[in-house]
Amino acid sequence: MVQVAVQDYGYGNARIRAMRQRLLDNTFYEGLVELDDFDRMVQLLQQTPYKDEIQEAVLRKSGAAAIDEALKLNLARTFRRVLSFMSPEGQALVSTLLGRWDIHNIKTILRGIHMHIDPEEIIDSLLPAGELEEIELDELAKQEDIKGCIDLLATWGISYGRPLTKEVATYAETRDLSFLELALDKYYFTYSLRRVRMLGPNGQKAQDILQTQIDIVNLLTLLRLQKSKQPEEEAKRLYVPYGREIRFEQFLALAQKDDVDDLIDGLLTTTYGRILEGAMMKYIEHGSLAALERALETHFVQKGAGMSKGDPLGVGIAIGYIWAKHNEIVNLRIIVKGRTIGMPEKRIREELILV
Amino acid sequence: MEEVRPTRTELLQRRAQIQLADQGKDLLKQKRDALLIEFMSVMDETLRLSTELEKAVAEAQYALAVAKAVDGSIAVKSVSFVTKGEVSMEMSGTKIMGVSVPVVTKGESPLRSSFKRGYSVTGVSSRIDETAEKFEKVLDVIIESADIETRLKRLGEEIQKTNRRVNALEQVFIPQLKEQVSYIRMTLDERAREDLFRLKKVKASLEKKRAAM
Repeated sequence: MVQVAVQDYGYGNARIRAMRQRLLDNTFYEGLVELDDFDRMVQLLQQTPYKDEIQEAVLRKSGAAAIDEALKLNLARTFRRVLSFMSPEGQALVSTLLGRWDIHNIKTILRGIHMHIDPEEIIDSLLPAGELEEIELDELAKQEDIKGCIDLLATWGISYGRPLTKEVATYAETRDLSFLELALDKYYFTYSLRRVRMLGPNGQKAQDILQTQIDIVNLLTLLRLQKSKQPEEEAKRLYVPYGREIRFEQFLALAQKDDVDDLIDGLLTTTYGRILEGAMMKYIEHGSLAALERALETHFVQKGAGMSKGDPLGVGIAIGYIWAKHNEIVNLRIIVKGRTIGMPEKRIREELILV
Repeated sequence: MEEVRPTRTELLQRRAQIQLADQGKDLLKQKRDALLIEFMSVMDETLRLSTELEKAVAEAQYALAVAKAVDGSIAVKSVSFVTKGEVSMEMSGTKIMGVSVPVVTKGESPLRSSFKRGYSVTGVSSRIDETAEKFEKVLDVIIESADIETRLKRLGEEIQKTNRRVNALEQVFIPQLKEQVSYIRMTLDERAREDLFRLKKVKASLEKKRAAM
């Protein structure tokens, strides 16, 4: 094992740069989009770093589901590999950002237990790419009830147990899981921001990513609030604090807007106004908020992947790689799934985010 | 042919039966025509709903595939765990031209807002949200279709049953009765001719005797 100093990013960054070289480029995506035959797609993917995972996944699943499984396995392994190269500070920062996978996993477990889903099925829907290990997730999924799961998190000293413990009474009263999920989301951002703020200039980069993520979450909430005309109390409850640009008062004012046009007009003073304005034509054409969400996601991915530029000795290289890698996985999923269901090539290309 | 007694009473009975069967046939034909009119209007509605259902299912499946592609199967599956719910509907019955048909009335609409599906919107993409919405729409159309399709099925069955009855009267029962009437008539005529012949013979014999005296 390589020993690195607390703040030394040199070794890790060198390894990650090498991994970055193996990321698939636009020419590869183009080649894959043009293939009609699923078997040829698999053949082409087997010439990439996904070969091992594909061979492993086809033993358990078939068709597009096997590719999906392979991509999932590859993502979890790659993120763990990245963490293994990092200095302690880098590990703390990157694993904080990867905490969103922990949130996904905890929510999935809570949802599964809430609906009495078989633990095996719950485990199949997890992606151990965060700080929580596979073995811990398995144990959580096997709990009989929500209370047992939250108690176990608290017993292990996992901080995500705290917001859940606070809200478990509301859940017991209402049987509404959304209270626990919202508390978990808010806690993740607050806790992560607190964690990265203590880590100096490198923490600043992670903070920037987290705050942009908070803004995007708030913007998507606003779009849904506008669509279903919810009362102000609901808007207050759903606001996630400490974002980069969207403040509480602005959020409440925007939540009262009559239509999406007005909402976007109210955002023109922020970075997101122009992005959403640019996606409005597509929104009108498809009548779907997904068009606006994809525009925000593109901004977020480009921002995350762009972190590696101009930061040869900081955590930016790792953050940039993680975002680029995740985006590559999403792009491959879009192409493979899209071709399988007969999605037009034009639509597939529109959905891809190229960084 | 069933055993028929070739008597005048039997002839009158058979004629009355034919008249009754004719009336019954006409009534059944009227019922069938009325059912057909009802059937055609229900058919139009069923076709409309079936097209709507086909469209809703195609849109929902496409949205699901896009959500699985962009957000990943695990994210979609995770949300699907919690979006399970109940569909409420009321079942009652009514009669159309004497045919009992069930009436399915929607209770609470299966269409829910993003804020009522049991997950927090802060962690779920709008693609998954819209997929859930589209499948709820499918459910809504299915409930509507259930009512109209059952109505169409019952009406169709009743039309078939009525048609079979009309056919049985028209092609079996009435022709049989008519055949029996004609048999009785022929037999009675035959008897009448025999009687006449016998009477003529007796008369001729009496006249012959009278001439010999």
